[in-house]
Amino acid sequence: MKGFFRYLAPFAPDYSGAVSALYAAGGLVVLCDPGGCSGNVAGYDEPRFYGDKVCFYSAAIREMDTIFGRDDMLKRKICAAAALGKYKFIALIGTPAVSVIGTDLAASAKAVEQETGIPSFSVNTSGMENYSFGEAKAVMAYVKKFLPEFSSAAVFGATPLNRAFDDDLASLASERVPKENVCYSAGALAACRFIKEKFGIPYRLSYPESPSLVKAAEEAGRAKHILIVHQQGVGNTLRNIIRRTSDAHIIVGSFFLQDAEFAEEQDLFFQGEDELTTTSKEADLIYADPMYKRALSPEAKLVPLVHCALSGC
Amino acid sequence: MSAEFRTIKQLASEERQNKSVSVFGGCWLHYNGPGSSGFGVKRTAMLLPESAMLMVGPMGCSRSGTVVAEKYGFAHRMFYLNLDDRSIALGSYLKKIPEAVQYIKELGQFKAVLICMTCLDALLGTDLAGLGKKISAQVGIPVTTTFMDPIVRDGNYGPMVQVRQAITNCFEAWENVPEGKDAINLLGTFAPLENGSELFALLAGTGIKEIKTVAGCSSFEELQKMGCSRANLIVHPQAAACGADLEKRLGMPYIKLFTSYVPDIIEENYKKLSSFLETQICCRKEKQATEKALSEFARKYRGKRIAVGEAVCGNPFDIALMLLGAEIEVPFVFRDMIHPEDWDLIAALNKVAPELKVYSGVHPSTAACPATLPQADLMLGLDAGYYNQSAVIAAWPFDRTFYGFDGIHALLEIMDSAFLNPKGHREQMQGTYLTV
Repeated sequence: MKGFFRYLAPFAPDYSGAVSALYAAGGLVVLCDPGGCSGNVAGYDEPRFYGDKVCFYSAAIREMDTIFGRDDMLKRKICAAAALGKYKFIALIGTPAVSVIGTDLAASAKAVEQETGIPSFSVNTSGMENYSFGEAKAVMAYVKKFLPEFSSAAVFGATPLNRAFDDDLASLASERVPKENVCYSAGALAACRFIKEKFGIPYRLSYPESPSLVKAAEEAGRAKHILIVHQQGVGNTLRNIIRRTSDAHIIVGSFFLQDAEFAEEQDLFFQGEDELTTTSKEADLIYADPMYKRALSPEAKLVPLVHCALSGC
Repeated sequence: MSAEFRTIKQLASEERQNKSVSVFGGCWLHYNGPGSSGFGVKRTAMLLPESAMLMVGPMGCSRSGTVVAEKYGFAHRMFYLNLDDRSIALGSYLKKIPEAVQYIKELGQFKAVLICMTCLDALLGTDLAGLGKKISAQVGIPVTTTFMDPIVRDGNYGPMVQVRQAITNCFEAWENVPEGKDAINLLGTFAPLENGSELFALLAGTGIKEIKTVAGCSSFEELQKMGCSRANLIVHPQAAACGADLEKRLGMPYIKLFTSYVPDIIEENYKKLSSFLETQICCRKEKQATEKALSEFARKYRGKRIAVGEAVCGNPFDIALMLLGAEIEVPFVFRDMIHPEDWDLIAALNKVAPELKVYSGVHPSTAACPATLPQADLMLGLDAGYYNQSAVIAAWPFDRTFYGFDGIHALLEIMDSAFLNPKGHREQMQGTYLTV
């Protein structure tokens, strides 16, 4: 049954991906939710939140706001909070509540920008897709708003939700001066294609060869059929490392955005648990977050490949 | 710039309301700081023994079950029906729910299913209760239902009220359960009453042999039998609606005597309980012992300032009143919403500490300017503790239930232990974990 999860818990949702993508960019990020959605971000999906400077708030939407469409109140709340700090931008992130009543967040962002003078934009997430889709929308929205900043190459997707284990992506990123746009996950590829159109900067999908991935690759041993379950950037990099010492048949399978340009023929995009379970039966070694275990074939050896978009950061 | 606050005197001058109202008027973004802790809808729903929970909603709404379900060992009892735009537009997901419940039933491990929907269905006006009845008849397993809809969290029927109702809706008034008349239910707890609680001894003299709690039931049938008890004692405002429901549906009498940490209020509560049960409860000895312990604590920690957060199992105004009564300085309390039951406490505080400052832990100015909060030596509750990590921080053990004078002794122990063996905020967050 599509959408029914018996073994897996839900992934980090699209709004978490959007918040994560914008979190360190110096803006005021407002999740337009009643409070529960922001609890997910703060509690499970954004480890940088703890002890950090204040840049992420909930709009605290209430029933009467949705019934009467009190967008003016939303604007007043955001403007009041914006006055408490110095922000480069203001981002309004969508959630199920505002999505189902059709709130025009783009119009609200425009009104906020007029009132505060701070560049503002919205991200139309709905809580119904996983984080990678929200990341893609947020990166695109940001790039379009601040396009001149992207006339030189940069690294995209260095967020906790994209990493394997607890890789320190900030330090890994600082070791390289990219000549082309580098995406750690598929989430930013659409934005990078847009940048290529505007500035001609090439791009690639490439997660760093972190010490944790190199160590994990040693576990491949003599396995003949390997399944890697993670986001595409991590999956591709781990596959490349394993192939230096192994000729195994390797599938990168993911519930997250899979970009055809960087996928191999055998790679899979899982739409549900059943597809993962079926595929796992053909593998003798599986790299996956331990929380996938109940959905995987018990016959295959499981090598932990932590992904906090499932198991929490 | 500084954190905004209101004084008790200002609050006391306002007109009393029968609904919850914001301390600051409501038009603010919220900062959901990393200090909220305790039981949320999912963890409370899991108190229903031998049950499975089916979350029906967008992926994001179910997310918080992820880590904690594993941590608390109930991952195998959680099932998710994730919705997408198309199924919502067509309403097609409603047809999948019976199939999902059938699947859960066929696993053979569960006696009941709790279906939980979200803000989305609350906004769409889905008849969840009707749906639950229909599915129960169709599939042949008890089904109870609740919404996890924080859009109404400020109202009198917020998500935590609804999930408690979903559980007590399973109570049944069966005949031939004679032992029920010797039992009383404690509603509004997250854990069984602590062994050795004074309530056991005080009620023993009145013919009450058993004090039942939802969390104390080991089987679904045992929980159903709670409907045969003599009466319901409501110890938390969130369970008040359950008492009213059960009186209407099963004819069970109930009394609201919320957990308090103020000796005089506790004594008064016991008097009301005596009258309710038409018997005599004498707690003079317990009160004297408690007042002595309170004096000793105050003497031991003379000069220490204790701030009271909201992440506590009790009312911050009530705890502040107790501390002030023992001549312990309280620099401030956290309270975001003023609830109907708060007004008497505000009036009492106004007599002893009219200048006491009330901050909101979720207000943007508190988050932006934590250094402007008054100094404190001990922060009670992890929400308050997050803002002043140089102070001693006492986390509340939400998985324990205290009542009466025992609650004061337990609270003094918690604070004493925090002073003697201070632990960092982050370390304690790992133990208590977030609201789920």
